[in-house]
Amino acid sequence: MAIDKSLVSGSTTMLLLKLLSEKDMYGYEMIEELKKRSENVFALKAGTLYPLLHGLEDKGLLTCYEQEALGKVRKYYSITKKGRKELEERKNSWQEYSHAVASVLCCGA
Amino acid sequence: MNRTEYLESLTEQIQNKHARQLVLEEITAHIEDQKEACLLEGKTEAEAEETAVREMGDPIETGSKLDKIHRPKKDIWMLGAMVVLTLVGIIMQSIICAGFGNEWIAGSYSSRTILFNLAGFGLMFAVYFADYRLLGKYILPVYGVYLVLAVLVRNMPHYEYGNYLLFCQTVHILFVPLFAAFCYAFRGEKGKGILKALGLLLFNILFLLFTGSYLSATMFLSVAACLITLCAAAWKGVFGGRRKRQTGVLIAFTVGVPLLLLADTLLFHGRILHLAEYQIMRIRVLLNPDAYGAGYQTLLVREQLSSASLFGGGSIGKAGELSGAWCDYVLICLASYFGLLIAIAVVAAVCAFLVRSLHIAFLQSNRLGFLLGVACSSILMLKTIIYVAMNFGIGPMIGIDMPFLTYGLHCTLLNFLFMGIILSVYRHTNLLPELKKEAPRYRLKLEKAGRS
Repeated sequence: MAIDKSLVSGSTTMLLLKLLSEKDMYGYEMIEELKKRSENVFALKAGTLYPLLHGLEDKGLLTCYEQEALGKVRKYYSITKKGRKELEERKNSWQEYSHAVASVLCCGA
Repeated sequence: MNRTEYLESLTEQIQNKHARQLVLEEITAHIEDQKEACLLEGKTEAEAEETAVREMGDPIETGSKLDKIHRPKKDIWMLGAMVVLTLVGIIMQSIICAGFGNEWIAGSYSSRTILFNLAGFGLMFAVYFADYRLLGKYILPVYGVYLVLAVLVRNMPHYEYGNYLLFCQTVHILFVPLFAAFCYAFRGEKGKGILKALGLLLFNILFLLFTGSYLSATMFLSVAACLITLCAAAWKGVFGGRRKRQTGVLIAFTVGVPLLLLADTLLFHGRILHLAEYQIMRIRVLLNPDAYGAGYQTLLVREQLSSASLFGGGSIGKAGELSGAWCDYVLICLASYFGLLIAIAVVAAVCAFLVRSLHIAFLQSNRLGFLLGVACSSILMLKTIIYVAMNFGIGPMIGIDMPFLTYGLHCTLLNFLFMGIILSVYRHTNLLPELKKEAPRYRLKLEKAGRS
């Protein structure tokens, strides 16, 4: 199913924060995980992912560190306290929004 | 588009060369991962490479987005605060020196302090624009030069004893940023890394003592700042391993040092640490100034403080009688002359500046930036706390300086050096990739340095 891009872009930050709230990950891992969990709906391009991650890091929502895994040095991202707070806020407003959309759709049906 | 073309058009969009490197490494690793996945799906080498690059998206768009994020940062407020506070310091020192009624002294001290501060700003800007990772990269040769310097200080001709002491104190304090760089060099080595850092600290103290330094208050300050840096390193997970446990043990150790000092003074008469008589006196005087003749300074400061009004009396009064007031008692003079309100405002401004410095350290992903930020901020903070306490009659009488306010070439240059490092760390936030470790030859050398 193809999803309108504008629907996805607003919530990508929230999805990334959610993934990182579970464990530290590197960029490629996030794209794969997102694809897997959304059953291929969210196919995030690396060109979109890295500016987002670096922007979140600049705002202090994420930090990163390098670690060796399977012979490769990878850059892992880790969510900060501020990031967790942001995630909670985004989740709440998303739930409110989706609930509102659902109510409207329901009533019209 | 092949990989080279993609990476070239992406990095061309990014102005800062350090950021280019930072982005390049991460994106290349991503392409590699993507390519490996394609190969596993059964694609040929060429197909896998092509798909991996195509999956990345538009390089120009990505590059310009990244460029907007990775720009050198400057903090206008901090620079402004530095200029204003330095001016307050110069004005106050001039007022104190003018109080002596000797025009020559007043003139020469004022012009010298202006010169020192200008030199300080020059030094700060030089450090501000430099890549602070150089200290991490060349820490061994830098430490070698430091040790030679420590020996030279011992042997250099000095025309007065006080002059020699200043050099010693400068050497003590200079060790703190080097220690931060060493903690970074020992990263990932878990408990062994911590032991190496502690060993190095001990080695440095012993080296300085054997080359003629003495166990001064400045040495305690330097050790305290090093231990704070070490705690911060453990907390940040620089050493790897059990972060919380390491931090807990190190904090207990750090708190133990001043307790040992106090216990030694009060219970064992300085026999454990071989304290000098005057050092023991300083602490005893503080606890009970009336009992000793030497307590007159503490009493004078307290008296001055209780008589200072909110808006100042336009005179430094008796505070001018305190020896070396332009170094040690600028704050109490400020309170007498301009009033408690202004004095408190100045202290609050310095504290805000230092809290911001520490905050900058905590913004860093680069662990060397973090450690240097913590090290430099903690020295300036400790100095400020001790100085403010001393000026308000609640701390021991120690010849220590306060950032911005006090007179002196050594302390002014040192403080500006540390502020330069902090601002350089801020300037390079999210710009500098971490230094590569794991060159075995280098590690072997470091171990040697830690043990010797």
